[in-house]
Amino acid sequence: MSNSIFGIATSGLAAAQAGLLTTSHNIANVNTDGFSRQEVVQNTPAPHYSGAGFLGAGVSVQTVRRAYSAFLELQVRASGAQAAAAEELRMQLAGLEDLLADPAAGLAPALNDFFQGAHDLAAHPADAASRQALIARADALAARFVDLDAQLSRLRAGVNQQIESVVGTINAFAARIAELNRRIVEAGARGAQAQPPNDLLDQRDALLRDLNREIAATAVAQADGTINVFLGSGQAIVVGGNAYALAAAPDPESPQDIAVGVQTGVTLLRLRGADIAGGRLGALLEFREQDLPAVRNALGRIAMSLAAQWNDVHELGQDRTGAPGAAFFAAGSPAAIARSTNAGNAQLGVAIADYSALTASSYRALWDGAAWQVTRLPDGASWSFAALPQTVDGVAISVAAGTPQPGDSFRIEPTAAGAGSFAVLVREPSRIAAAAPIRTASGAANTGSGTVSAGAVNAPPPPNANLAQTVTITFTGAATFDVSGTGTGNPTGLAYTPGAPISFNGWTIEISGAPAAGDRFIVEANAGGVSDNRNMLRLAALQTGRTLEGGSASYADAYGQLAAAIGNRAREAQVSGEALGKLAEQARVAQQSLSGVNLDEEAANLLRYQQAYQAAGKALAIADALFGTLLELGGR
Amino acid sequence: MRISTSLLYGLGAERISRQQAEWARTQRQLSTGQRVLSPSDDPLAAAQALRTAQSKSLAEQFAANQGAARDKLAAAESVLGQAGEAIQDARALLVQANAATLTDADRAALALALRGRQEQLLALANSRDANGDYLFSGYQGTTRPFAASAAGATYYGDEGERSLPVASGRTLAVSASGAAVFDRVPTGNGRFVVTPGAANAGSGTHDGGAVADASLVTGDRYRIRFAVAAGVTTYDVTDLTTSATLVSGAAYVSGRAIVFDGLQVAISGAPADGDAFDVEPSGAKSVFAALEEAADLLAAPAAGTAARAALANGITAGLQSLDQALESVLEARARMGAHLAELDSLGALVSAGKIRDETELARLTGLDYAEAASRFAAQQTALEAAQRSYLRITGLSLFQFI
Repeated sequence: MSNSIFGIATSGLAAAQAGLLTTSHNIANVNTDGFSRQEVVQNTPAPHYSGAGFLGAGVSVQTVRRAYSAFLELQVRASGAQAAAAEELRMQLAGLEDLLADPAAGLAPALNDFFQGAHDLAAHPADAASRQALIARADALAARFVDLDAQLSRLRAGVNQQIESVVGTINAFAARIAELNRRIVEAGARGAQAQPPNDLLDQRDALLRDLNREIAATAVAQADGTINVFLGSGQAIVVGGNAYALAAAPDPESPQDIAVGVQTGVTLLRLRGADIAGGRLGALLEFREQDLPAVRNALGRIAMSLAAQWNDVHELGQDRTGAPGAAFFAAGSPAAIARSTNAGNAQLGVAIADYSALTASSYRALWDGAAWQVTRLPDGASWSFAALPQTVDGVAISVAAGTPQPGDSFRIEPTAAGAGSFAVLVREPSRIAAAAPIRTASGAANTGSGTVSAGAVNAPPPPNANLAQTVTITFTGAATFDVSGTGTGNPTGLAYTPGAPISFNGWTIEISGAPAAGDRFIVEANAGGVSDNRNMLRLAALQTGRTLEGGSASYADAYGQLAAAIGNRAREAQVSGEALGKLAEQARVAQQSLSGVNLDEEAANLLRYQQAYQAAGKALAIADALFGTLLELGGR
Repeated sequence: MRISTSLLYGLGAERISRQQAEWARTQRQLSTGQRVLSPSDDPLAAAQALRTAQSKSLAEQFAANQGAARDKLAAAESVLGQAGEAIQDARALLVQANAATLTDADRAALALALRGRQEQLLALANSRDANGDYLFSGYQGTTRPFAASAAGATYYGDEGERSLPVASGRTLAVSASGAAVFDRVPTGNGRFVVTPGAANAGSGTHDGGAVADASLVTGDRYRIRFAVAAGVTTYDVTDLTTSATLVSGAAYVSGRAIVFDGLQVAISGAPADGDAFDVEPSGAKSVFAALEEAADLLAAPAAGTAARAALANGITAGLQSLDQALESVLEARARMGAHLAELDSLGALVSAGKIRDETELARLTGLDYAEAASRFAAQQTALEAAQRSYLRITGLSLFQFI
C-alpha cells in the first residue's frame, strides 16, 4: 500500500519536474527565433484493480509537445515571401525614383537649362559669351545623361551582385535544411517510441521561413519526417537529405547580367522573374528585367532623338565663321547582341529609321529556320518576317553578315546605349551654327509691291551642294518669272502664285504681293551674317516640338512620362508592400499567439509545477510517516 | 488570445519606429514646403509638375527675350528718332535755301550745314547696340552698314531682319535693315518723279506733282514738252512707253495743273520753247545720295533764269526725297513703337502665364501648411502615446511578484 503511495508520489515528482524543465526551457527561449512553446503532455497510467475498485497508479509523462500549427506556419511562410518580395522591389524602385526625380540630379533641369542657353544665344547670336554658355550648358546636359546612365549601370551591377548573394544564401539554406532532414530522421529512429525532436523541427521551420524570404518555396512533408522543398516552377532544391544548388552564371543573352537557373546535367534551366512567386530573388529579377531596361531605354531614346534631331537642324545652319554647321552631339548607337550560344555566324545590323516611332523597349529576333520572329520585350508583341531587312517600331533590322542557324537568337537594343555615350562634339563657340546659310534680297530697282520671305533651308541634311549659289528670280510679267543661277537649271516662264513656296538648290522661299515685270529677287549666301539667329530659333523650337511617341511628346514630356511610370511602379510597390507587410504581420501574430512564449503564462506554470512538486513531496513525506508508524508498531 | 512576449516587444518597437518615420516625413514636407517628396507620392502630380516646370521655364525665357527685344527696339527707336530730327533739320535748311534773296555765298554756307547733317545721319545709321553690333546692317551685325562715297554712301549690309520669340507662337522683328530705312528711299513723291530736262532754258519750275486718280495710273513714262510760238506757250504730253500722244497743243497757264493718266503736275514760270519735263515712276535712292545732291546743288553758283529754275527744281526734288526719307524713318520707328507696345501687353500675358504655372505647381506639389502642421502635431501626440503605453505594457510582468 505505501509502496504504491511512494510510487505515485514519485511519479508526481517526476511529472512536476518535467513540467518545470519544459517551462524553464520555454523561458530560456523566449527570444529564440522560430522557437515554439513546448508543453508536457501527461496522463494517468492504467489503474490497479482491487476489490474496492480501481486504484489510480499516479501520473506518467507521455510526451513533450510543441505548440505548432502547420497551417499557421504555412501562412507565415507564404506571406513572408510576398512581403519580402514587395519590400525588395520597393527599395530598388525607390533608388531608381530618387535618381530620376531628384531636382538636382534629374534630367529635366539640365534639359531646361540647355534650351534656355539656346534661347539666350538666339537673342545674342553675335555674342561670344552666349555661345560659350551654350556649349557649357550642352556639356552639363551631356554630363547629366552620362551620369544617369552610369548610375543605372551601378544599380544594375548592384542588383546582379545581390542576385548572386541571394542565390548563395538560398543554397546555404537548402544545404542546412537537408542537413536537418538527416538529423531529424536519425532522432526519429532513436528509441522504440518515436518522439518528435521539437527543437530540430523548429530550426527547420525557421530555415524554411528564411528561405521563403529569399525565394518562394513549398515544403512537402514525407513519412519519415523529412521535407522536400520545391520552387514555384517545380524544381526541387531539397529532397530528403540532399540539396540541389541553384546556379548563377553570366547570361548568354546579355553577358553583363547574372542568369539564375537550376543546373540539370549540362543545361541550365533558366529562372525568370515571372517564374518565381515571391521572395527577394523574384523581386530582384523582375526589377532587372523590367524596370532597369525600361528606364535605360527611355533615357537613351531621349538622348538619341535629341542628338539626331538637333544635329539635323544644326547641319542646315551656318556657323560664326561662315562654314556649314557640323554635327553638334554624339550619342550611342543601336546594337544587336548575338547570343553567345548561337550556332550560326550571322550578325544583325540595327539602325534607327524613324525617331518618332521608337519605343522604350528591347527586342529579341529569333531565326526559326523559316522566318525571323521578332518579339518586343517585355510586352511580348511579335512580328514574323520571311526575310530581313524589316523595320519594326522605327528600328531597321538587317542581316549585316553571316548566316543564321535555326534557333539562333539576337537581343536588339535600339536605344539602351543612347545616354551613356552622349557627348558634345562642337568645342569652338564660333562653330555653333546659329545663322541660316542663305539670305534673300529684292532688287533695288523693283517697282512692284512684291516681297520675299527670309527663306529656309530644306531638311534633311546634308544641304544641297549649290545651296549658297546666288540665284536670281526675275519677273517677266505679273504672273511669270524666270530663275537663273548655278544648280537651278535656269527655268523660264514659271507661273507665279502669291505666297506659294519656291524651292531650288535645297532652299525654299515665298514671294508675296504683286511684283512688276522686271522686278528681281535674289537668294544668296549669307556672308557675314553673324547676327542672324534663324537657325538657332529653329533649334530652340525643338524644346517644345512634339518629336517623340509618334509626334505626341516632346523630350521633356517623354522624360515626364518616364518619371511618372517609375513613380507609379514605386507607388504600387509601396502600397502592395504595406498591404503584404500587414498580412505578414497578422500571420506572425496569429502564429505567435499559438506558438509564442508568454512569460506571464510561464511564471504561472512555474508556480503550478512548483506547487505540484511540493505537494508530491508532501505525499512522499506522508508515505514515509505511514511507514514509520508501521515500524513503531513492530518496536513496541 | 495569447500574446507572445517577444512579439509584444518586437511589434511595439516596430510600430513606434513606423510612427517616427511618418513623423519625420511630415517634418521633411514642412521643411521643404513640398507635399510630393518623390514621384511615388503622387505620380500624376509629379509628371504634371515636370511639364508645368518646363512651361514656367519657357515663360521665364520669353520674359528674358522680351527684355532683350525691348533693349534692341528701344536702342533702334531712339536712333531713328534722332535720324528723323536730322532729316527735318536738313529739310529746314533746304527750305531756307529756296529764298530768292539768298546769295551764292549764303547758299554755300547752307550747303556746308547740309553736309553736317549728312555726316550726322551717317553716324546715326552706323550706330551700334550695347553688344557692339551695328543696328542697321541686317544679318551682318559686325559689318559697318554705310560707308561714305562720292554718291553719298554705299550700303554694305543686307535685307535681313533679326527676330526673337517673345511669346508662345509670336516672333517679333527687333531690327530694321538699313536698306529699307536709309538706302532705298523712293524718289519723287513716292509714286512718280518729275525731272526737268537738262537743257531747259526757261524759268519753268514744277511742284513735284501728285496722283489725281490712282485708278488711272499706268506706270508708264511721259514727257511734257513746251512750245512757244508767237508769245503763246502750248504743251504736248507724250507717253514715252507707248509713244502715244496724250495731249497736244494745250494752252499753258502758269501754275495750273497739267493732268494726264491720273497724274497731275503743276508747272509755273515761263518755260522756253523746247523745254521738257519727264515724268517717270519713282525709283529708289539713298537718303545720303539725296543730301549729297542737294548740297552739291547749293554749293554751285546759280546765275541766270535757267540756273535759278534748275536750283528751284533741284530743291523741290531734294525736299521730296527728304520727305520720303522722313516717312520711311518714321514708319520704321512707328513699327518699333508698335512692337514695344505689343511687348508691354505680351509681358503682362507672359507674367500672368508664369503666375498661373507657379500656382499650378503649388497646387500640384506644394504643401498645405495648415494641414501639414496639424498632422505633425497629431503624429507627435500619437507617437508620445505609443511610447508611454509601450513602457507601461512592457513594465508589467508576473515575475516581479514571485
